[in-house]
Amino acid sequence: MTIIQEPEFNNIESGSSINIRVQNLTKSFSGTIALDNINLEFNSGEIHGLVGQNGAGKSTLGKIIGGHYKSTSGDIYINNKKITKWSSKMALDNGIAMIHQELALVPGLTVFENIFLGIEENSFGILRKKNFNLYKKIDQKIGFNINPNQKVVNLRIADQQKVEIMRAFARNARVIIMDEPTSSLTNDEVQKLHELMITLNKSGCLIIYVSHFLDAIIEVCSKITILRDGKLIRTNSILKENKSTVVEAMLGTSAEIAFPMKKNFESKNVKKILELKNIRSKTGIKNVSLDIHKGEVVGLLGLVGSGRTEILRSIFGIDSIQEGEIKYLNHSIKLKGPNDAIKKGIVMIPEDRRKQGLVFTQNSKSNITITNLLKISDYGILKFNKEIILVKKLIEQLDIKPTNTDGNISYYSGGNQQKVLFAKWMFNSPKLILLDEPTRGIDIGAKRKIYELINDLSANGVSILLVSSELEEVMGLSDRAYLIKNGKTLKEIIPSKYSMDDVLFSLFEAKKINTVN
Amino acid sequence: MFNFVNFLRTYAVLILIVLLMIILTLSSEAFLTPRNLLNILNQNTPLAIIASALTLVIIVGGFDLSTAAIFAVASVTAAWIAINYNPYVGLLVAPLIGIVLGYLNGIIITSLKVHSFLSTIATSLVFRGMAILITGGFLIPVRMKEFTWLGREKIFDVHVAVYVLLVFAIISTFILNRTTIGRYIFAIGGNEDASILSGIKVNLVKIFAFSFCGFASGIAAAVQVSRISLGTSQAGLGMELQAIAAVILGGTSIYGGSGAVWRSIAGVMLLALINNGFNILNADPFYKDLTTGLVIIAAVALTAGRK
Repeated sequence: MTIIQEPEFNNIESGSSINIRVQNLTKSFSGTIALDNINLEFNSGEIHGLVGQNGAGKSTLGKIIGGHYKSTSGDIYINNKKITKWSSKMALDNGIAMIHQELALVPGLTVFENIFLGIEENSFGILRKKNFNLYKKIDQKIGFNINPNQKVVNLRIADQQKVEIMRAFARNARVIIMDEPTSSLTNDEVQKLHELMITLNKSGCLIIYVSHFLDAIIEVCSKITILRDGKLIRTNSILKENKSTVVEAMLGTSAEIAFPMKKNFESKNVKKILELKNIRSKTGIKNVSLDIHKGEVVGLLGLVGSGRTEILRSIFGIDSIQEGEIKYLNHSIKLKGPNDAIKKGIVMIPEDRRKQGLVFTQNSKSNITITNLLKISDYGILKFNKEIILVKKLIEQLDIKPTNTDGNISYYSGGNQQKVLFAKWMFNSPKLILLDEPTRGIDIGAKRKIYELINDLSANGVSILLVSSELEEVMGLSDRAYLIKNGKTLKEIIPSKYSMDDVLFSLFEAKKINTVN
Repeated sequence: MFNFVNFLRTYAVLILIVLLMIILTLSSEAFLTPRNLLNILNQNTPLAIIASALTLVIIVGGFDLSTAAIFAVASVTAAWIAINYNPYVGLLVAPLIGIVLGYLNGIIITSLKVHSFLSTIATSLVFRGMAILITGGFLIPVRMKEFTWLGREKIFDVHVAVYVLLVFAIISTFILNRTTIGRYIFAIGGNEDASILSGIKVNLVKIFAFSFCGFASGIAAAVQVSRISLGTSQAGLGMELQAIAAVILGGTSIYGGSGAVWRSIAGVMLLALINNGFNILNADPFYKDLTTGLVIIAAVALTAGRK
């Protein structure tokens, strides 16, 4: 096949074989281990699937190979040559292209301009006439049929993804790392993408396929690597695995974290605090009904993108609802915004503590008391002594370190920042806490503390609606839980009477049904 | 934990002031006298008052480029009322005009959701235009003792204006550091999203900051128009940039979230000392702007810009 003849773009077929090896690779994010001593090898001719639960480290591994993250320790070898410096540019120069979950295109430029961005044909910096033959040749090979003159901003997400893939091609990528490429594609498009992967693979490309769609991985990959909690569980030929073996390996026997014991919750005896009836919103909630009782911990079980966070946002009044009813303490309510919700005793602890949770230019004390300055002021004038006494109490109760009230929280560990975030809302004495990813990126000790805290809060009559990507967490902490898929509540379960496997299988099964339709 | 970057950000302006004072003291006997120092302070009270309040606006994450225009409207209104009605009422109306115009700024910024940088450029043109309409293009001289006392009289050998600055600086500092709204100002400038999710009424706080800044421009206008006993629509031209320069010189972050009033006043003093140095050393005034610019670059290199 001699489809592309231009000297700059002739390597796709004739590309020499490539071998990528990572040795003792470890990556930690401010103290939290994301990848733990990984040894793994990739070869041309493979379609190599990386699977694992949310937070298992599969994306991180992809990003390190693609040069987007630096490893904390360990080495990468390319064709047995040790890499000393590594960046996404160097990865590209070595024929390794990464296609991200979050697309990285320039919206204002056309498809053509995006594909050849950075490698435009030019004479002394002056652009030459656009060489559409080049484009055609790439397009023929892939068969995406996108108008090269269209602006990227006008494309659907799926088409933007195609542009990304074509961009990798234009750079003669011998290795393409795809991080969850199918999450926004239709089934037809997924099928096309898979065919393309196989074609590419036959021509000698190495494809690293990161996904939590197990069916897709099993269908298209030749090799599979399973990660769990940052550790490599095993690498195997796909012929030796099936969905059950993979799920079991992903799940493991996660005895590392024990959940604090809790008393049996009897929802019949207490009043309902919140009730959602057939909620629908523009943000992707299609039909959600659920209820929470006083002092109850209710979990939402769902994969990324199922609408979990959106449900919390609607209750908190950030996103308005289009249909349905929210009842709070037996009254139908329509919240105008966070301020309104907080006044009623509903608070949200957001998933992104850096962007939405804490004010990093302020010390620990100011961050904690900001939710209820009325408590520590007279006529708008702050009473510092009272503030310090109350904050000290919370710092002690939550075991926040360092213990000083004027600590610079940007130097705190993730776990302690998270505790400050909790303290901030406990200061406001809420009735209902909407809790989004309470333990993301924090260590085991801090996790344990947060779990105890959740139990304590519920024991004291505070209701909690819990969302977490770590399913065990939702299972271990909740009195009741709802399975969420595609913005809908599927069914209600009692976690203590349900196994993790059942949940995981039903969530992934749900995905499977979805891709077949 | 000693943090060198933070130390520099906090004290760079003081270090530069001390350096400059040592140089000036060594070069001229006329410099280090109470009379000269008080004079410098007195001459710069209007700018220092504006810079104090502007600090709040910049900490909340905004910019106010209309302070000089508000200053002009307040000046000519005060003069006009003094002539046509009553000099005391004239002086009193200036700060009120300032509050109203500052409040307008706040309303426009929060309701139209435009960046304050842009909207205050626009309102500064509108306000300056109002000042021209009030005067009809003429100057309004006010030669009455009842009007000029604020800018010219002294109590215990110190100008009344200096006391005004002192009181205003203390009030600004108090609001920023000891009140709930001050806490909100810091929080919003540090992380607006988190502040909204914390239930802070972000718009109200912003409107307060801009109103307060307008209020300061009005007080500054009263002091200045009383001192020069002349209302002119061209009053305070370029002052808005000097005020911003002074705040940034003081190490208040242009990204918002941190800063202090006293440092902005120190920033004003630094600019003033350079000016004064040229005068008492009889240096070639052609080099004044150039030197001022270089000092600002030096100070900014030490303080601002780093996030």
